[in-house]
Formats: sequence, structure tokens, C-alpha cells
Amino acid sequence: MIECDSRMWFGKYGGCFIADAFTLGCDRYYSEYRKAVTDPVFLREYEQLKKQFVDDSFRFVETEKRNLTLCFAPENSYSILGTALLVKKLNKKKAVSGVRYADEAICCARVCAELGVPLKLYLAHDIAGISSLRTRLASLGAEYDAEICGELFNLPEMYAFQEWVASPDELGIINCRSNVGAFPQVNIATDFSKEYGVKFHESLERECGRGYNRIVVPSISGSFALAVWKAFEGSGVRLTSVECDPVDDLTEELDSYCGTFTKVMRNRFIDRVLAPEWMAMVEEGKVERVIVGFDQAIKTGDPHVTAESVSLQSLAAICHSESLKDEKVICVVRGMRWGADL
Amino acid sequence: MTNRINDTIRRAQADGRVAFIGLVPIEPDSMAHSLRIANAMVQSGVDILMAHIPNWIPWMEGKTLQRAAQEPRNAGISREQIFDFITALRKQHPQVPIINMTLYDTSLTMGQETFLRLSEEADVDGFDIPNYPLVSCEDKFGFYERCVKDGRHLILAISYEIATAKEGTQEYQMLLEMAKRARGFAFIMNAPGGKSGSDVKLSNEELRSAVQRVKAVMKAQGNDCYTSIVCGISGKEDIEKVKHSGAESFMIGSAYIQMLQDGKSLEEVSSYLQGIRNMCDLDCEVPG
Repeated sequence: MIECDSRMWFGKYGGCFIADAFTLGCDRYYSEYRKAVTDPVFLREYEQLKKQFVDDSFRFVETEKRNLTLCFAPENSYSILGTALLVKKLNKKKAVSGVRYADEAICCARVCAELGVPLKLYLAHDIAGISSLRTRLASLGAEYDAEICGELFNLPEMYAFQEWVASPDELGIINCRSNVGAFPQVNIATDFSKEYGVKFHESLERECGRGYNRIVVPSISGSFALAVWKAFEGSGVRLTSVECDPVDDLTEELDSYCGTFTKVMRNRFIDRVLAPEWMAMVEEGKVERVIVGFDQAIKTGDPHVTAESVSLQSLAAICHSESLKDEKVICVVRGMRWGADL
Repeated sequence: MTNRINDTIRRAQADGRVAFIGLVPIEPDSMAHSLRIANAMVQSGVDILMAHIPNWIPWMEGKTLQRAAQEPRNAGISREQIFDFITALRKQHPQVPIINMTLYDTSLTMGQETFLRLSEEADVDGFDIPNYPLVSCEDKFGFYERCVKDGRHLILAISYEIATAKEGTQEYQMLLEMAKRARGFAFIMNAPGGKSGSDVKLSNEELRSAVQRVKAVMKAQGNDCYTSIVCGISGKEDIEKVKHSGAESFMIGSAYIQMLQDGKSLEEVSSYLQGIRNMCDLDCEVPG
């Protein structure tokens, strides 16, 4: 059962800032989606896909600091699976997606190969030059654009969205995160990805019982944190997302990313776009958002992690968790990925 | 309330030609050079200037205009500097219609009041903000209402699908709403997705049917708004298509901005623009 969130606005964020001419296409896509996810055939196939592709092995490790437990977490691929299946279900001729990490690109290609859906990927500049990735994508039958993000903006999702808007009847879009695209793109991504939070919650209950009162989550776009938070909403557990950037001159601006209004951390060359629903949660005080400096994050000295094996934001999350003295904290740790930190 | 846009298109019609709308790029190195480009455009016969206020995430643009957005951003040009340029443009060309072209994102980022105040100070005649959800969100932010009150036109963009929608459909309902609210001129998109510089274009007959339909629906609503063709207009065949469609104007941006990006001189660009301008007469044989 996939619960659909039909809100166009999350507080002052979200929306559908797209030409009037194309809003009807977006509305139609949303109603097709809602219909698809109630179809037992779709749900059966989705369950099968999850068995094949989802890794839900959360590993909990107690640290020497008695109030802090680390949770080594797999990546959240539910949204890729769900939206790829949707492309097939809606009989689109091709799927398009913008990817920032090598594992994300391979996941999209493997899922589409399994479903028999032709795929075109826009590769972020950071991964476009990895020849083994390109070879693997080609062997999986995926078409890719490895040029545009290096030539112009390093925003692969933007190019995928652009292609989709030009031919929404023929193309379907695979969403890796909840921070891009006019309504209903962000909703659909979150609808699928929140199952990740449920799996995390179940593992946490199983392994640690209820002896914790704060979860600290590393965050880039807020999509991962949002998926986790959804499973704890109303539980009394507090949630903090921790961001860390390898550059120190990013400022926060309001902007939209392909038609969804949100906040963007940016300098002249970089945009780190935050998920609109996540920003609304932060502003409503339901969750906390912390930014840790790069220099501070890389000094993290927990013996269970090394800077080479976990993401920068995870180091920052551990750094922040260690400062929380009076709470029982679960700190989520994500592995180092091959690709962009932003 | 008179508006330079209406007056200019009316004059072009009286002269027996279609009006030429051109996009003024923001030069990353010098606003003075942007002004020189705008002056060359006017001298070459461009009737209406669109001032490009680039979006920092230009997701509705093709490659050329993305580059035209990226260069000023990387150079650290601020939006306030761009408004200073538009103000200077107005001083230089008091009679030429100026339209601010951007996404609504810019207004959201700056704050709508600031955006409108700076536009008023620059005495612009209208806005081309293709992603403002006027009909679908019922003017939620009051931008359109404010434009009407201030006598500035919010230029609406109509896709082929909307323009040719069957009666009784949601698309037709949207066409009715847009036809009722269009002011100055309504853009008819010559490409799917409304992407600038697009290679995928409507056929002659598709474009003509779209334009004629929009004009008929506007007329039925008592709206004497003009039409204009946008997206992928660059050469002789395109201008012929515009004239065949019955639209009163057209817009070019990417074609000559690409020339500037390729390092072509202002004289070469002027020569291109004059060539386009020479094709605008309705009874002229387009030069081969």
C-alpha cells in the first residue's frame, strides 16, 4: 500500500511553478500515478522489485560514548524503484533521470533493464568521466549524456526534467530524490522513499528497543532525512539533520528547482537544493537542521569510522551527535559514494 | 491605459509588417557592452526589447540561454546590477517597449515587492514570466492583478496543445482563461516544452492553426490582444512561417546570442538582425 500525499504546498514551499500550458500534464500524471499505485498488479511487481534491489541491512554499533549508537545505513533506492515501475506501468516509451552518484546510475540502469524500460541518464559531471561506469551502463542498455553537466550546469536532474516536460506523454521520469520538479514530482518521490524510514524504524526497534530519544541524520538535500522522519512523526523522538559542505561560502537563497519553490544553498558555481517538504518541517520546528563546518567534521575521531569510508555529512553527523551529552542518540551513517557531495 | 507594447505592434501593423521582439543578453564582463548590444538591436530594427534577467537555475532554457545565464552568474553579477542596466536601457530608449524576461523564481527569490518596485523604477512595459501559474493557481501571488493595476502586461505563453484543444476539455477551459486574461500579446510556442532555441518545431500548418484558434477565442472574449511566435525562430523559413501563421509579432533570442557567444562581432550580429528585419514586411519576398 502506497499512501499518496496530494499536497501541492508545504507551508510556503513546493508548488507548481511551471507554465500554465504544462500544469494539466502534471495533474494528469498525478492522477495516473494515484491510479497505478492502487493496482494489485503494480503492487505485486513493486514487491518483487524490492526483493531484488533493496538492501535494508541497517547495522547498529554502540560507541564508547554510552549515549551514542551509530547506525550504518544502506542507500534509499525506493523512489528509483517506484518511479521506474511507474514509467513501465504508464506505458511510457522511455525513462529519463538525472543521477549524481555511480551507484544511483547503476541502480536506475539495472532496474530499467529488469523492467524492459529504455533509459536515458544525465550524469553529473563528477561521475561522467568514470569509464567503468559508462561501460557498465552501456552493457545494461542505458543511454547516457555525460557531457551537458560538465559543459553547463552540474544539475543532472534539471536536464532530465527538461526532457520530460517537452514530451510528458512519451517519457517518464525516475526521481532519485524529493527536491526536484514541480508538483507532483516531489510528492511521488517521497511517497515511495518513506518506506525506507519504516524499515529503519523496524530495525531500530528490533536492535535497540526504545532506549533513545534523538536521531541524527546526515543530509544533503533533506530527502533522506525526510524519509526517515516520516516513520517517526508523532512518536516523540526528536530528529536532527546535519549538513556539511566541502566549500564554506554557500549562502541560503529562496529559489525553485524545476518548478518547486524551496531553499537553495549556493555560491556562484554550486547549487545544493533542499527538499521543499523538509524545509517546511524545519520552519515549523518539527525537526532540527544543523550545519557543521568542514574543518570540524573531518576531525571526527570515532574509531568505527574513517573519513575514507563514510560520507562527509556522516562525519558531520557524528561530530554533532558527540556534542549531545544528555540524550540517547542514534546517529545514522551513510557510506562514501562515488560522486558529488552536493 | 496605453502601453508601449500595444502602440508598437499597432504601428508595425499599420506599416504592413510583423513586429520584431529581441532578447537583450547580460554580458558578464560589462553592462556597458550589454547596452551597446541593445543599441545595435534597436538600430537594426528590433521593435521590442526583452531584458534577460537570468535565472540561476535556468531550467526552462535551451543551451544558449543557459550559457547566457551561467556567465553572469559565474561572474558574480547581482540582480540589482541587472535592474540598474534595465534602468539605463530605459533612459537610452524612452520610446522602445521593454519587457523583463525571467522565471517567477527570480521574483520569489528577490521578493515580489522588490521585483515589482525595481521594474517600476526601470519603467518596463511588461513581464515574460513563463512559469507564473496564473490560471492553474488562480493568481495565488497576485502578480497578474498587480500588473493589470499598474498597466504593465504579463505576457502569457500558450502551447500548441492548449491552443488547439477540443471544446469541453480541461485544455480548452485553460485556453478560455488565458484568452480572457492575455494582455499586450500572447506567445504561441513553436516548440514542445517551451524551450528556447529548440530544434523541434511545429509545422507551418500546425502553427497557423494554433495562432488562428487563439485569435478567434480571444476575439470571442472581446480581447484584442496580439499574438507572437516564440521558440526556435532563427531564419528565413521561420519568419515565413510566422507571417503565414497570422501572428503580429515574433521573438528571437538564442539565434544571435549564440553568435555573440561564438565570438562574432557586433557588426555581424547587427547585419543578421537587419536581415531578419528586412523579412518582416508582409508583402515582401523573403530574400534567399
